[in-house]
Amino acid sequence: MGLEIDFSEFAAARVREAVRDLMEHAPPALVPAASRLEADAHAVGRDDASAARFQSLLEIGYLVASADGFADEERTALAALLESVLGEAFTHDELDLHFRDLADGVEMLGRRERMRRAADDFDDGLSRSEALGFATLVAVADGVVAAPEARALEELGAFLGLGSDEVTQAVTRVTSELARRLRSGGAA
Amino acid sequence: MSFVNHMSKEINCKIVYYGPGLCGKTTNLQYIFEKTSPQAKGKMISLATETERTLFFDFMPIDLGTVKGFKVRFHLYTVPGQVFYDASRKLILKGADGLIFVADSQPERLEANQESVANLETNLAEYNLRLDSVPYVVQYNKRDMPNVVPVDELRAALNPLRVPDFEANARLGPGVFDTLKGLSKLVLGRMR
Repeated sequence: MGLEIDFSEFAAARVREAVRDLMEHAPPALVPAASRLEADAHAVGRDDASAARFQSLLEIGYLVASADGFADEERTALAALLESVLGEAFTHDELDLHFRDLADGVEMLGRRERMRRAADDFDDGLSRSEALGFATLVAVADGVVAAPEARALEELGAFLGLGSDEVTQAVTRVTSELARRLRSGGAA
Repeated sequence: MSFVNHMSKEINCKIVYYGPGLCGKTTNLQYIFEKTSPQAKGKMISLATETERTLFFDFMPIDLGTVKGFKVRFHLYTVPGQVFYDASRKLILKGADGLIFVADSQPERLEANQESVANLETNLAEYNLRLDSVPYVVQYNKRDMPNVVPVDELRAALNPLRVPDFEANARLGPGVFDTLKGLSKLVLGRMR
C-alpha cells in the first residue's frame, strides 16, 4: 500500500514541532481533538469508557511507533510530545513509565494481541479513523514511518475494521497535513 | 511475569490451563466466562490458524481485593491438548504467572494425563522453569463421569509435588472456581 513516509529532509525538532502543532490544532476528524484527549486523560482512574479509550489510544500509538524498535530517546520524545498536548493530566515521567509498562504488556501478551484489544475500544467509524490518524502521527513524530511501522498501521487498520482504502486515506490525510505544515514553515 | 499498568493501577497476571486433549480446559474457561459479570471481563477470543490455536479472555475478580493498591486482572489462556499443537502450547507458557493442570479423571485417559504433565515439564524447561518454581495447581476434572480413577490414585500419578489439587466437574461448574481461587492465592501470595 506504500504507507512509508520520510520527512528526514526536515530537522527532527521541526518535525516534532509540526506534529505537536497538528495534535493541538488538527482539522476535524483527522485525529482526536486535543481538548478531548486532555479530558479523556483526566478520566483515567475512573474506569469509564473515555479512560479506556484514552489508554487504548496511547497503546496503539506506542504499538505502531515501536514496531521498528523503540529506543530510550524515542520513548522520551514521545512522552514529552504527549505531555505537552495533555496539559497537566500526566507528567513526562508518568508517561515514560507507562510506555515501559506497555512494553511489558507486549512481552507477556504479544504485540498483535495488545493491538487487537486496544482497537476494540473504538466502536464507531469516526473514532476508528481518528485512532488510526493518531497512531500515524505518533509513528511519524521521529520523521519517518518505516516499513515495519507501515505494516503495523495496516494491521491496526484491519483490527479497527477499516478497509485498505480507508487506511490509506486516513494515513495520507495525516501525513499530507503534516507535510503542508512542514513546507509552510511550521504551524498552519 | 505479571505486568503492571501504573496508569490504570492494574496488575496483569497470565494464567494458563494445561492438560491433555478433551480434558476440559476450554470448558473451564467457558464456565468462568459465563459466570463472570460483563463489566468485569473482556471478550472471549479464539485465535486459530492451521497450526496454532489459542483461547483466552481477561477478567478482574472483584473478590480478590487489591495488591498494594493495585487491582488484579487475570488473563486466562488455554491451548488445545492435541499433539500437533505443541508449538502453541510452548508459546503460551511464555510469561505465565500460574499454571493449572487439568486432568481427565477417566481411567482410559490416565496415560494421556501423564504424557501431558511430562510435556508441560519439557516445555517449561525451555523457559528455564520447573513445576516447583511457578505457582501451580492440579484439577481432577470430570468427576461426574460414571467410571473415574480415585483421587488418591490420580494424585499419586499426576501430582508428585503435592501441590494444591481440586476435584471438578467443569461442565456443570463444581470445582472450577475453587481451582482458580486456589491458584490465585499462590499467584497473589508471591506478589504481596
